Amino acid sequence: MRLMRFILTVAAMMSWQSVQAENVLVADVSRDNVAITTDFHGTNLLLFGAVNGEEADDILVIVSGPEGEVATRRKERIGGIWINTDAVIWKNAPSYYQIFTNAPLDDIASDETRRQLQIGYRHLPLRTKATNLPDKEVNGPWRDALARTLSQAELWDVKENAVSLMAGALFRVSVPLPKNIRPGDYQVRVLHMREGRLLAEQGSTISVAKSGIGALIYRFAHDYSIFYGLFAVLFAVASGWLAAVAFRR
Amino acid sequence: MYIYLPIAEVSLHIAVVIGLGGGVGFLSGLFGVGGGFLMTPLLIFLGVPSAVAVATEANQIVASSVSGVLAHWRRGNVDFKMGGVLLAGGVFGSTLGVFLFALLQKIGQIDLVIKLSYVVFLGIIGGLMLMESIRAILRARQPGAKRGKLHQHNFLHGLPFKMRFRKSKLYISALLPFTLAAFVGILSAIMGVGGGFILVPAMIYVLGMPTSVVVGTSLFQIIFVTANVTILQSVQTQTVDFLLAGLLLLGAVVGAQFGTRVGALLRGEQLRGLLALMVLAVCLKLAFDLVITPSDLYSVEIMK
Repeated sequence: MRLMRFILTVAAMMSWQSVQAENVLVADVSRDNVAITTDFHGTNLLLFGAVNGEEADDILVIVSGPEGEVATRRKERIGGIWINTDAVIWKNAPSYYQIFTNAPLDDIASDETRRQLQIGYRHLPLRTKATNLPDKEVNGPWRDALARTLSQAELWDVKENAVSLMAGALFRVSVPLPKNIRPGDYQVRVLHMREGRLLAEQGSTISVAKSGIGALIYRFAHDYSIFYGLFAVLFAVASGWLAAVAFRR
Repeated sequence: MYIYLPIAEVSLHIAVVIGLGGGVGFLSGLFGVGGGFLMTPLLIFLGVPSAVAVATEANQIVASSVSGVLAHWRRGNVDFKMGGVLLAGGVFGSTLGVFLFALLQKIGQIDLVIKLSYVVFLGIIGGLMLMESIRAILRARQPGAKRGKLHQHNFLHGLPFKMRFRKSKLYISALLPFTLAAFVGILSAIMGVGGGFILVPAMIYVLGMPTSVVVGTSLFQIIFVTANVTILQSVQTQTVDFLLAGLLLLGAVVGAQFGTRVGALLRGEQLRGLLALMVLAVCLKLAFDLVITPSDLYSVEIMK
């Protein structure tokens, strides 16, 4: 169904293109809502699209997940054991941030262009809670540590050459959503670049939500927490009693 | 088949979760301990956030303690009066513990405090148990050796609020069991354990209770302490994962039955020796983690 719609869009675009030689960029995702069901174990989305570009053009895809508070902490050895001493709390760090390109990022855009277009974790407009660490350190080693630790959790990444671009016209990329993703809205940015300049940008949203019994438990736990706690205790008492009776010899 | 745990927000293989419940259940049946001191660190190793591991394990211990106390109750091995004093202390302590937990979590030191508490208490208890069981095994080889005095009188017996505990054959200050249980309650809330491994030896050696009623009475009070932790954590931090607790329970119930049967075939002091070695192994593993240089000095936590 989605593929059908996409083909029609591309066809419409092609005919429109013959009249007007403006830049056109369309993209779509195989699914725009992902359900975290009880058997969820991560998934892959296929993002595909078309562009009226040239052979040497570049495509850059940025997927960024729900923002929130993320704490980075640094350990120091005190009296023989490793203890968290300093911390930087990022107020609006995306819990998922992945960049996909068809070529090495350095060849696609200069650092200045990346700063302007907010491409890459160094150029994210991150805010932190008050800290006595100097700004140079927060936005240097601490920001690098944020990216490094989250990329170990498969949540942040830069995947160069992951986008396959054919004849400067059709592109596709597989977007991995690991098992530990946060529910919420995921922003997708598709950028069409030529010789280091942005030609067109397209945005869309993927929504990730818990569903089924898991969602029910989560909502119950958050909206009726006292009853949830009482219920959990009652359930435990009942099953403990049942077990004792069932195995009584 | 993987199962996504809605509160822990991690996906684990269902066989791993039930198997973990079964394995720890087996050991707890074998040794007659709650098993929280094994389950909580193992859940954390598996990637369950420590807050969720501690709160969920409290919920599971409610069930295993109910199941355990019924057998002791039937045999009349529960001192309800002593249990009442202990549970008052335990509820007080565990309430304090839950708030302490939230505070430590906020300042980013909860993992350190959890690990340190494990190292200290498992080290002490494991060491004492090992020495005691080695002595018992040696004594068993020397027939004719005399038992020591049941308990000694010291300053603790001079405290006010004296109460008579008929079943425990004791006339002691209520402050003693209350304080003891309050202290164990704090640890229980922070470490995600029932606290039997501290409470049972303390009831025998500090309070001087007869061994026959100790386990039943301790299980009785653990039910209320862990129920209190479950409810408080549910309200305060929403970290009780009902699905995880249910699956662990499923494994633990079956595992405990096998454990009890195997345990009946082994001698008491050998069992205690084995348990001591296991407790020390967990202690050493955690101590090692605290001491070795981490591969990355920075760590990350997605808060909300």
